[in-house]
Amino acid sequence: MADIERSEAALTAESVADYFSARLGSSVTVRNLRQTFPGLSRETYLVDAEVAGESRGFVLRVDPPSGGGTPTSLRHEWEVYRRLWTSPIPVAEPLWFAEGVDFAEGRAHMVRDLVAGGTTLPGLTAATAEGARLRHVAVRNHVEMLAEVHRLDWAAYGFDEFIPVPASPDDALRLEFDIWKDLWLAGRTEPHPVITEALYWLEENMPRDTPFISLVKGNNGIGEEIWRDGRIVAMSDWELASLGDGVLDLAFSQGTLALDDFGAAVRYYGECVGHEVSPRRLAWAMFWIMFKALVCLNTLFLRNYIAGADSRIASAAFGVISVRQYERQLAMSIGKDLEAALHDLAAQTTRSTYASIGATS
Amino acid sequence: MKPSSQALLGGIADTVETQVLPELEASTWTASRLRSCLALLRHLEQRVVMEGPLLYRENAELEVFFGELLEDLKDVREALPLRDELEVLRSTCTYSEAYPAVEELASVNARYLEFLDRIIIMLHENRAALGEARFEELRGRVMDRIREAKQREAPMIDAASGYSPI
Repeated sequence: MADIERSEAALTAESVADYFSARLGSSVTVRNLRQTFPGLSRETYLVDAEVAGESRGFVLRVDPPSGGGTPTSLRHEWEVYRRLWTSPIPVAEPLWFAEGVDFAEGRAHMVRDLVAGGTTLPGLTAATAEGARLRHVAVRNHVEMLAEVHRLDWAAYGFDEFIPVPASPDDALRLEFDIWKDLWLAGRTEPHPVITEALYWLEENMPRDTPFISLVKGNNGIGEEIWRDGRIVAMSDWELASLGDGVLDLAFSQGTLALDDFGAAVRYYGECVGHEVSPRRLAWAMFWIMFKALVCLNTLFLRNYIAGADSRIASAAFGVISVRQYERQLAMSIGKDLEAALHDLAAQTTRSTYASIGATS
Repeated sequence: MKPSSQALLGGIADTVETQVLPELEASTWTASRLRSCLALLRHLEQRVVMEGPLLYRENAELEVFFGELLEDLKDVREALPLRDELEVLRSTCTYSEAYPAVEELASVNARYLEFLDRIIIMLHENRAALGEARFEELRGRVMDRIREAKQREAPMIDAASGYSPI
């Protein structure tokens, strides 16, 4: 029996082996099945298998029983992978997507090849010269990879076939705003006057200097991408991918760009994409990402917890505590100049959620 | 009854934090679930003593705030329906007992927050008619009200802020 650390609705090595055998048309033995940590929006399992006698690794991504923790479906993420696999952006090879089949209680799932590496870099937080060098190299590499994603010719790879496209670069943030505002209004668990005011404030201050429409990754950075030898070898977790303003990714790096010198990282990004990032555009994105996180935590995690569809205690913790923290930060910021407001919150907004708890691959 | 609910919750949280969590490897789901519990316990340790009085005070102050704000908007036609609704709200948001349960206080608070939400929208939708100076003055009063509420509840949230929810 493989060593499995169970989530609330964990899969077993036997059920995965049976399913993979049927799917691949070959005998599969699962030597080890482990759910990665952290990661609440979807369950991700590393499958160490033997296929017809040959060692092979897979990554199995499954919707939790309560559904995904983002407004986008797992099929959306699958479609992103499928297209990126043929592009210059490094991703693991997507193998199949299915839902409603006799596996994992019919939950949506996708399988991709395992890329050797880890979601963290050993020694990254070391207070040594080598640690500083590693952080500098990692941040620059991450910036380069984000820039490559943002410069991708998304239409050539068919991303406009399933993702809404802004009418023009000027409207990139407007489309994003409208989509997420609607999600908030449709799904919020109760009235939040501070968020109502925050949305007016963000709308009034919405930048229109988006240089071009990009494929936007969504959550990114340490804990998401696959790193090996100090470099990203595969970009992972595309569930929030959209078409819009790449600045949103700079604001959603979960502390990664601040591991070295955040300002230098943003300037380097500007060099990589050929357009300087205005401080106002960046500041808006930082507050916007706070709002998006709040939408997911309230309308999905907390709503499902209250309804009894999600029994994970972390969903309650995030939904109660983190949402209130974001609300207070927004309350203290509304009405201020965007950059001044961001300056006041900088300490909180650049801290990685995963800094102290040992995220692993 | 002694020890108090707050003391018991604090004792449970201390036990989890100092005697159980250190025994577990940090990057496991088991430790993660305990951290989530600990964060919520620290929150509850404060909430159990704060929530009732806080909601009672907040509801009373919101009722007065609505009355004053809508009185100042009596010349604004679009605000008139809200004045009528406030009267209905006042007559239905009453407590069944002198010492209302937290659930009852929370239910009234939810209705008041929904009303505040509608006032905010009404102000923004009539921004041009109000004129910028008057609009900003009214918006400032709303935001002061919201900030005060957020500051008051802060101890319940800050108590958990040093604990990762995952």
